Amino acid sequence: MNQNDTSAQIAGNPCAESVPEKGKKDTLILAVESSCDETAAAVVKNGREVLSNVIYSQIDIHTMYGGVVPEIASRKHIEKIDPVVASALREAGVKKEELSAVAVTAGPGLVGSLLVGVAYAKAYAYAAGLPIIGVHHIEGHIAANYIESKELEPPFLCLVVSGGHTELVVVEDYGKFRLIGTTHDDAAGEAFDKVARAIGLGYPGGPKVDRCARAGGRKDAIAFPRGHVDGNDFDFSFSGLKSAVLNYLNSCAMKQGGPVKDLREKREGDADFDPDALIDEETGVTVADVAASFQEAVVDVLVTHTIEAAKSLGIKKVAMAGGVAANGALRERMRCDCEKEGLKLFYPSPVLCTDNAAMIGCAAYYDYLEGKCHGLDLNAVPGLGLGQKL
Amino acid sequence: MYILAIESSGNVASAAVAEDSKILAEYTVNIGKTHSQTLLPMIDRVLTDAEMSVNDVSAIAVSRGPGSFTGLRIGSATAKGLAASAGIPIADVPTLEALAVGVGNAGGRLICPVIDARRNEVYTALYEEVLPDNVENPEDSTYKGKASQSVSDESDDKAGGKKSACTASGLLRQIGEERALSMEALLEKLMTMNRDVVFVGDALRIHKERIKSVGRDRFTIAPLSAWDLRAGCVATVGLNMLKEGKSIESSDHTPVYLRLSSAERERLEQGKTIE
Repeated sequence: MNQNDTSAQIAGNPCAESVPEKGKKDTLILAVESSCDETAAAVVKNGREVLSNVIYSQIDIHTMYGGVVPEIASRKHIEKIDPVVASALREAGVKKEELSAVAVTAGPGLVGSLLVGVAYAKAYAYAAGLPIIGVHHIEGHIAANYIESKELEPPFLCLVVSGGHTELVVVEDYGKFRLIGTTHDDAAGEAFDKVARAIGLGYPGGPKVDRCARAGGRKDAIAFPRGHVDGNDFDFSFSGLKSAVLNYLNSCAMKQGGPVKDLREKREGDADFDPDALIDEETGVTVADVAASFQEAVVDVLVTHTIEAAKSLGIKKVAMAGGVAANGALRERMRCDCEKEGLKLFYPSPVLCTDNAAMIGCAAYYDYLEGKCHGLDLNAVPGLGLGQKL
Repeated sequence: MYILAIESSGNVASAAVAEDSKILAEYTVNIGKTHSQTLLPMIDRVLTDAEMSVNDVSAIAVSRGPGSFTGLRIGSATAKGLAASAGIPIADVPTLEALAVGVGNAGGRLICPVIDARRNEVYTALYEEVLPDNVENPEDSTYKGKASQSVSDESDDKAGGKKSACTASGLLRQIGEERALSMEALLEKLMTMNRDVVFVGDALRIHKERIKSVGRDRFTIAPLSAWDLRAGCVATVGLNMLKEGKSIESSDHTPVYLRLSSAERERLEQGKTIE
């Protein structure tokens, strides 16, 4: 295909003509999300009303491998995409003919996983004569807040925290974002996964560390470092914290007469794993204490940075998004600190924090209103930057 | 009856619209661009040129593999999206068979498609033409004598000694199963079969000379024009599958990889060493 063909398709896209006059017809968007290990589809009405939100999670398969295996994820997506999309339409009671557009996560994410959703959604839209809208995954996560809180409107500050992201974003308007802080190494969720693995809790780390910490862990038992990045107060770093946890575990294990590696191997996948099994004889610290203290260090940095950013920018509304935003300790602490500072806090319910397609449909709605649609050559962009044009 | 065919299992991206006895439009590129960018615009182009829309076709034929994992999934996901949206079935065409069909008249030779599978292996299978006598009487003695060996000894045992069977399209007879194996192992098997063989497929770019030196006058190479699979061949096989009632629901189609993911393979290997 030469350039002319492609641009002709974009110009001839029905998107611009099909934008409804306000108040006349409902806008129904079929959305597809397959950026990592959930195959998801949803139907969203007028941007904020979720008619269906179907998620097929592959987590059981990937747990066996201690993390997401890209090739297995891609294979599962292609197996599940048909039934997931069919269920989303059926549960919503919406026929193909009633749809206004099809939306799909185009990036960032695992390229093989993204490609399944992108190819499927584009083909589905093409055969139905509908516009296709490629959506940034993180813009989707942020938009989950619109679904949860119908009154929320930009501008606001959003902390995006997931397995792949740790970002502070100023949402200036719908579809208009300014990145003010990001991680220099591990994402927050990644740090949770790595530490969970080290203390024998397994994958996925976030919920498992949270549960273990709640099982009697003392969050002040060990003073783990708070990562700081010179030159930008709103950037994050979690690799130092991760190393500190590993060093601590090593020193405990040495005292108990063996390298920590052996202890870890024993625990991996062990159903009878007892979180109290690893005890520092001198300090009496247990695995639950490690989990609680580590979690506290992550939460402390995330909350402090967010509050500081809101105060320095004079923003009164704060939101959270992404899988780690479902973490109980983070939600509690953020609520508490926002209240103290007179900031209004928004966060989605857990099902809208983790990957889902409803949030993609919501984000796409505002692009649809602006007439922002894509051509048949829309591609998956695994490293897509926030606000970057597709 | 019209069919829309898609091929994206390797380096080539190709789309075609065909009806019973002719290809109406076909578009093939081999330019190294990602299939995800090129495939749907190409589908739009062939449909436009044939003056029709997806709603005018009876089914989507897709090259189901084996081949590049990602390429196969782009083709499959595209076929599924089109089929689900238009409410039409899928003919999931064996990629190796479509390549074999592209050889045309094999003149009694075995047809051996070879697709580069990386890791020093090829994806391959063995086919022969459907001759009037072995259609009517597959157990015919002259036929049996010819196909006394298969690429895969194991599959022979499983198939209860059955040496070959008509493919779903009815266009060819397949001997043994689709497999991934080294070219040396394949040549060794073929040498024991005492048959003339014609090779086709993109792996010839790597193995052509070796095949010629091993097979002498018994192994021949198909013309270069048949080495890369085009959607027109996929359409031909797909149309015949439709006629045979062998189309499937979109949700029942998944690519045929012939290989596990490396993570699964390593896991199985580890399991074996523990045992």
